Amino acid sequence: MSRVVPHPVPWALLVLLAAPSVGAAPLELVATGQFRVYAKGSVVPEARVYRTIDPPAAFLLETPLFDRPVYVTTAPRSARLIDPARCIPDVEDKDVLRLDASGPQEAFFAVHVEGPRLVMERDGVTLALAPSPPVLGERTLGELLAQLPEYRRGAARYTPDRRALDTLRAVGEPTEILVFFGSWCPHCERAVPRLIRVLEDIATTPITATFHGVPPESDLPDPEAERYGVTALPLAVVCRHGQELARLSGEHWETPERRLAAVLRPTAR
Amino acid sequence: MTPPRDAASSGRALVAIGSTAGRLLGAVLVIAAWAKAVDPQAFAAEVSTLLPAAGVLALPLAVAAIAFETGLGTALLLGWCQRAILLLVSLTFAVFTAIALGHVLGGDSTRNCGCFGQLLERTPAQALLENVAFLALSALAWTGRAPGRMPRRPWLPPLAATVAAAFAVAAPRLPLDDIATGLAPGMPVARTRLDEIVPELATGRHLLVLLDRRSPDASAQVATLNERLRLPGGPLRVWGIAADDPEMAAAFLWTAGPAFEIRSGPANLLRRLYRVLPRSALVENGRIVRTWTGLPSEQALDALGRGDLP
Repeated sequence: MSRVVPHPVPWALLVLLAAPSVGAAPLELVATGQFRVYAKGSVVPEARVYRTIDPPAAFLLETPLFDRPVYVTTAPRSARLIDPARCIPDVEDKDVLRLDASGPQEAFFAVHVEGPRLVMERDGVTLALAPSPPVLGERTLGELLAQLPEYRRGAARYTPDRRALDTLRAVGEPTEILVFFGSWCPHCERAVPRLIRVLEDIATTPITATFHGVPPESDLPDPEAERYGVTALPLAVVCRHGQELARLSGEHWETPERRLAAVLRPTAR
Repeated sequence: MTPPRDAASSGRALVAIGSTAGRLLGAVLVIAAWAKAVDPQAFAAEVSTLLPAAGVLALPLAVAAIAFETGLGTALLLGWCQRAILLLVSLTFAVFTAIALGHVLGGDSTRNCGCFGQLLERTPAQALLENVAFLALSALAWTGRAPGRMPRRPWLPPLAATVAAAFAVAAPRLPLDDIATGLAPGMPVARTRLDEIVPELATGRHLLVLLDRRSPDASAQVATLNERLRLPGGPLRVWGIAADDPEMAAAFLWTAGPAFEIRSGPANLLRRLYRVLPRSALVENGRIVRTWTGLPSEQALDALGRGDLP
């Protein structure tokens, strides 16, 4: 599945004609942990990857290998260096930036696909953009947010129900929440940050959470997820003194604080 | 001392119970066979999972199993209760029970049982209980055992088996998707569980396209959707849905360049919603209003692209 794209002039013309971003409103991109940059077969740890929030997918890569960011589009497929002045960080959210992709359409890479990797070559340097391996096993909230910064953005944009939060703030007994999620699962990306926001807002209470990353279905099964009978993601298991009290699944994720408040209300003072 | 008349009447009651049990099992076998016949490829996939060595013979084996179940079920519905028939029934349900037990012992609690095709969704534990009950019923059917005389209408079970086999072979080309799958007009999206993958379907108008990212035609299908629906933008939200596979998802993103979002879902959840891929559905305010085998026609896509209903 490897197709080399001619470099650079015909492709540049095509992008000029077809790229939706030309002359359009700035694109909003968010930092993502779901893709990584590779060079010479290894991860580039200093690289930062941003992706568009709305389709079609586009990426901005900040890597030490080039003095300018790399702008990658998928429809049509292209990669080019872009003027850093066109990337404006959000003043309130360091994980968000706005990109003006208009201006000179130049400094293109030769691009081809190798399985899950988009390989880009320019000036003797070869980069690849590929999905990160799934986040597996137990993670604290801090570890989770470090690995999946897009969750932080989702959490910041959610406004929990204040009355439910007040109920939860009154909880005095230690309560543990085990959250099963898939870092590869788009529904988790929408739902789990809501719970994260709730947990941040009730951080002073004895309600604590652990996050458990589950592999995709095509990979090996997860014994912990099987032990809890996880059939759909995300799933949160609410426990107290080692006893399961309730679960959050399906529509509970629309307003997780309300479900938690309903479950924990009897013990609130 | 019990009078002989009572003994005779209790004997008749036992025969009646046995005969009823036999007819019940006949109905179960015929329903199960026809539920599988509407989507023989799905059943062939089950056969392949069970018998990996079957290879290209999985589909013929699946068709043969459908014919066998139909023939046996028809014989039981006709009231045939000869020793050979009862032996076949008991053996059949013993095999089904053993398969269900294997799935339970295999430890995969999420696997769907395919005994009734895509008609019923059950866990292996539920399927095991059900098959144990059927096995018990087949034991009860022995009380209705009839002497080995020539049964009535001996041509009917072979005819039913032949018709079932012919139907199974033709079914993929027949317009039966709305009957054979869980995705049909009028159905709330929540019943399909697609709302777990795309919660946004609850409000507004959406076009859903179930895709096979491994298909060599998938890129061309994406290009058609991008072009005809004037994506990105346009009046309609479009969602692709495909089986979970992050590496395949990335490769497809680079090669096909979808101008709409493609979300992943569990393969066993999606398998109940199509017979062949792609399959499309128009959703309005959380309810399916129209389905298409494949993509909507170009005229339908153009209408949707204009914001009209096709």
